[in-house]
Amino acid sequence: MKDIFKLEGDRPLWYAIITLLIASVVIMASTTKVLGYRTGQPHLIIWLRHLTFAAIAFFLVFRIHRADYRGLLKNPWIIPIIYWFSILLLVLTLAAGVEINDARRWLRLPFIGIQFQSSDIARIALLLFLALRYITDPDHQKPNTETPFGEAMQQQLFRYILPISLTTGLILIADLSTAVLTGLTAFVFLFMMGLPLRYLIAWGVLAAGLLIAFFFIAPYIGIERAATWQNRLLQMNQDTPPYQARLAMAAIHKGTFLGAGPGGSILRDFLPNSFSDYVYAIILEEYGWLGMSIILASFLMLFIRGLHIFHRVEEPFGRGIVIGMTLLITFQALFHIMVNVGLFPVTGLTLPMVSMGGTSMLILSTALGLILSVARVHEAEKQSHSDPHPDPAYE
Amino acid sequence: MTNVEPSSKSPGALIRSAWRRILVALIILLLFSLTVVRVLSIQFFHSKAARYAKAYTVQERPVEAVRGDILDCNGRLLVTSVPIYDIYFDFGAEGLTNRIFRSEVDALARALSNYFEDRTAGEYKRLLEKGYRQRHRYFPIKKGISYRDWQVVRTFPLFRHQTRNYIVGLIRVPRYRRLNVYGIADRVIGYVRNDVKVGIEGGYDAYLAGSHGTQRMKKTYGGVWVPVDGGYVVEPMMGATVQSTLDYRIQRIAEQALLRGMIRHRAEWGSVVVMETATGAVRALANLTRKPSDQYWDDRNYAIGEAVEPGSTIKLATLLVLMKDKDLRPSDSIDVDGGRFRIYDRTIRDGAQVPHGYISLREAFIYSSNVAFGRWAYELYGENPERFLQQLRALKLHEPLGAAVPGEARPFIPTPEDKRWSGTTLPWLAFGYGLKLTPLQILTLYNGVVNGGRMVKPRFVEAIIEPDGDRTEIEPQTRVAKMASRALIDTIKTLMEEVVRHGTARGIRRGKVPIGGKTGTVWLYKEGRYQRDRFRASFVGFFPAEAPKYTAIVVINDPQNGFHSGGSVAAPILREIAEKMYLQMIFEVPSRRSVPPHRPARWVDRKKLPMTAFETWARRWGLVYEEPESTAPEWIFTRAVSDDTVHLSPVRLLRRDVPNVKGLPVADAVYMVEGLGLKTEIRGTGMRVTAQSLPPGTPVRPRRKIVLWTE
Repeated sequence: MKDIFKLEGDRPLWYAIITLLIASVVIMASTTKVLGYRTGQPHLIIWLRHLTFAAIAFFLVFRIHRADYRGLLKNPWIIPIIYWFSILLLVLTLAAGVEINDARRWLRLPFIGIQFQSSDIARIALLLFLALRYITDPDHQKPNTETPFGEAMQQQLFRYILPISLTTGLILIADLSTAVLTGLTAFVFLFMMGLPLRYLIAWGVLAAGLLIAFFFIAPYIGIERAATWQNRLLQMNQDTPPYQARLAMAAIHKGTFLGAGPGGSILRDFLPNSFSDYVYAIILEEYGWLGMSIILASFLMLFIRGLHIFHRVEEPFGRGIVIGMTLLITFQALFHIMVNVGLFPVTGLTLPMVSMGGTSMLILSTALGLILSVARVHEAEKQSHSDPHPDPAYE
Repeated sequence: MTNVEPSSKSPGALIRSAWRRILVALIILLLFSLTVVRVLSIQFFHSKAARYAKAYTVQERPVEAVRGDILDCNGRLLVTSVPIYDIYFDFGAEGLTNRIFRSEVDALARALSNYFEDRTAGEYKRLLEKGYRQRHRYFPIKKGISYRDWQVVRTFPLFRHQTRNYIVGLIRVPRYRRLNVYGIADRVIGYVRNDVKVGIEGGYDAYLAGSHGTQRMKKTYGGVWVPVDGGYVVEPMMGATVQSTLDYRIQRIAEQALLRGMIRHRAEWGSVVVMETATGAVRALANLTRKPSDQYWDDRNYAIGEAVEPGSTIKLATLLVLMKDKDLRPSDSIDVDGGRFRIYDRTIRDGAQVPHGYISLREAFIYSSNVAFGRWAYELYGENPERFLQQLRALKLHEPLGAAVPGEARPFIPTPEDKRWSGTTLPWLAFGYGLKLTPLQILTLYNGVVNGGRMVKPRFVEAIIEPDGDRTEIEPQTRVAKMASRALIDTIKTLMEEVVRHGTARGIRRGKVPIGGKTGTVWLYKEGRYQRDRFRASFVGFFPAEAPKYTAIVVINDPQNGFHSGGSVAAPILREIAEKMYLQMIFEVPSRRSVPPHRPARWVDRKKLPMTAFETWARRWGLVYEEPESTAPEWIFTRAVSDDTVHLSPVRLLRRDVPNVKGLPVADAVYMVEGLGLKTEIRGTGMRVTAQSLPPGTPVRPRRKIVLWTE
């Protein structure tokens, strides 16, 4: 009976997740006040809703980690369907999404009324799809030296690059930073999965070139956001940082050693999206170095344990999932923190598992659950090797 | 698709290069460390971050004290502070989407243009577009609007996107504005702006201002500073109330009479001061300047700030000196020949009204003979001008009054040490040329004589009333205790009465109020010489003549419609003031009390009067009238229907209704309604007013009580 509640897979990773969820619930007690003020709802209700989402997220991680990730391979169509469905969502969002801050990134589900950023789903779907493409790649099983360069490039184009381009391209139209994040995650994923360097360099140069070209061409082909991007990049070099960046700096400056204490943030009232895009700055303002250490330690733990599981697991699909999800979460956290401390142009990226946003939290929970599932199955398998009985997962 | 099979069974095929893991791990670690370094640098080495942070830290900020009120001598509220608002818009507000802005900007521009009528809808739209393009977070929309305006503006398109307590982007910054309740005595009440201090506001700033407090505050959404824990670090002290000596009724009469005179004579500027004889209290002080557009503005305090050649009004001082120092009698005479007298290279000239040949001192005074006064001064003091000047100094004519209202011009009286002093200086001085005095300084001299020889310093303030009710009276100060013997003073007073009865001011001899005084008519010195056709007319008088209550001066500079003498231009204005004051029962004329006018109703025809004054007249002379329909108006307008029947209609001094104060912070609400003369009672302990006992739009009656309920 006790085993039903046992946290399996990887203990340190569990601790990191739990720490982040607790941090999230704690900091939201302060930032929801602003939201409550603006929407007219009692802020306690908003906070309780967040608390509920955090609980559901925890339960979801738990539930998924108890399942066998290999179930995704039972039918070869499952992952492609997820991928193409995510592409469909992206298209739908562009066509009929909800406009927030002049950008169409959100899709409102009819009837239920839940809003979510379709790019959240698309990123995970892309990485799952890449992991699948990887294990079905006949080349990955032997170091490929015989295939001529051009031919290999052509194969990779269809196998990896076109799916990546399709997803990032669709995200790019509304959301440059998430597109860059997605592309980078996919790129490092391929790197970690062992794609030979010369190809990576070739693709990397190509992608960077296209991105720069797009950046300059965008204003002339009717993408309204282009002006915003250019502004933000230009503002990076100016003496006066943009408004949000100034406020984030103010929040961080005030944090120092102990911070302003729970609920002591002042900047939360001013920073647009203090409860999502700038939650790190607010954590630093309220909890100082302690808050910073906890958040950084949790994400580093998450990353290192991800790498560790990646290292330990031998099964290539599981490895793909682990490194894909680990990189996804780590890069998003890193980008968020860099934006908050002013090392990256102002852009809207949430801090995984901490920022407010129920659906985003649930989607990331799925990713974490998958990592833990891989770890758990792998552990069980190792035990089964020393065990005379075969693992029931292998039928 | 290809058949998918877990391939973990072929370990040799795995590419598990450690360097890739290590490289990625190192880069990630490096980037995370970089963020830590950045955080530390922001916290300790970044001067700009410190500056940004300071604006968002809990700070002890000054809390402005509410400035004290200014009352008139009867306790009527003249000036108070009322809350007004500056409104800004935050174009970077969340919730302000492109769609909302685009669809409502036109309607908003139209609404603003229609309501304020200061810009066209197109101009407003361009302004809003500009702010939106810059995503300006604190874009000024309109400054200094009233609470009522605010209530309308917040319902405008775009502004009305609001939740229960949050209006998208609309920011209101409250402040206090000084309100001159009746719009009177602007200049003498004055103002304090930056370091410029004018009038009573300026002179008594130290009392009115109160003292700033401090409060721990933080910025909240919308850039508004709010108190952190309610209390004050240092409590602001509300300014004291200053009870001025001005009398609302007299001030109004004086301003109206001056304006009428200014218009009648199309003068360059004019000034009127009415002083209470016994105490030197300034009951009214009015100034007007003609603007190129033929409008008349109260924009300079000539009475205090403009020292000018007084002309014949100074003959009072000369007369006093001659009689006191040289024992001249009114009957002593001198030869004025044909009204011309040459001293060295200059000729003294008399006006046409002065008799020729030998004239007495009495005639010289009441007909205002320059030749007589010039000759006497020349002959009696020509050898020893210092003695004459000493006599003037004994009257403190060379000393500023030092009244508490700032901006007094210094008097100028030449001395033999001056380079410009010549043989003709002294005789010209004796009839008012070559020296400079302000109207108020002249008035103070006259007031001393009228007051039986005791010269008092002009006062502008009766008392200072501290917020806790402590009242400090400002006592009259004596400037010269005894100007001359009682007999001499009485003689001079009689001579001044004769000026009105027979002399240069006989144009105003008819009237219900006996007046005494002295005229003055001066050539204007312009473009380096005296202009023979341009004048400054003045009249200094006192009334009622038998037992003077008030002394007043009227100065009209450069009248242009034919009349130019003090008797024909300035004296009638003073008479108008005296008559109206009498009609309003501000003073009584003792000897005439029992003589009813021939047709009493005609006497009060078409007059604005306080109801109480009218009732007294009606009782005294048996006037027939009907009570006006409106319940007990303070002021009424009279119309005679027959010789003894009067029709009354109520006059509302100023249209004042109870404002809607619901939703307003309690302090603001209290200032608003108390500023209108209502008394407030607050029930409840909430921050904002939720209900009021007098509904909005009810006419205000002074000292009526209004109950404000808070949550």
